[in-house]
Amino acid sequence: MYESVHTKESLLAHIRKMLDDKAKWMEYVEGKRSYESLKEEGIILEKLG
Amino acid sequence: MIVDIAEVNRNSPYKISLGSDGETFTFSTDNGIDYKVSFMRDDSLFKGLVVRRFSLYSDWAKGERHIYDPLVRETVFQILGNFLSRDNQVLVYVCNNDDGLHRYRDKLFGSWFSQADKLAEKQFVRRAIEYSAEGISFYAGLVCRSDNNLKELYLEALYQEMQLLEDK
Repeated sequence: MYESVHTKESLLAHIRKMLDDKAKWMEYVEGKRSYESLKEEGIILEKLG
Repeated sequence: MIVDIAEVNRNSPYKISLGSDGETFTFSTDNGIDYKVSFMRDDSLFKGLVVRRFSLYSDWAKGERHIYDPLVRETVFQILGNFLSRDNQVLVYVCNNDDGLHRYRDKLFGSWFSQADKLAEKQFVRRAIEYSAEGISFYAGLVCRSDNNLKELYLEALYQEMQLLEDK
């Protein structure tokens, strides 16, 4: 049986972070943000190759 | 390797390649639109369970008329199918909402899965979430293969966490 690790507030905070991370990733792929700044924000992309 | 590029390219209508960062896939359509795909590890959404956040970007300019291209869906599904076939992988997504088009994106992504179900055996399981309250509006979801051994555990985790959103 799975037991939640979140409260409602922490879950919403996590989802807000997901949206924020995605916005930063989009800035990166659009060339508006460097790869290093993405890493500094703690956004770790999976190594694909 | 999280996705086998050669394997994807054997069946994908648009050929994917690895970006210079080694962490982003790219492909270009016949209409000249570039797409980028990345996966982010997330081990704190669910307790003790790892998921990957899926992100898809296109440089389709805002305001331009969208050109429907079924080969985009086929290419993305080749990537997802390859990714999800490895080690019981599970992905989550949340639709970008900075331009107010997140509902449209969710509907489009959902229609891709509906089309896939009609074309073949039900390959994927998708659970979509829609939420709007507390100053946040989002469309999100979880996707895994229908033969994923841990499917029920992840779906239970999603259900339990989403129950929190029902709390007043």
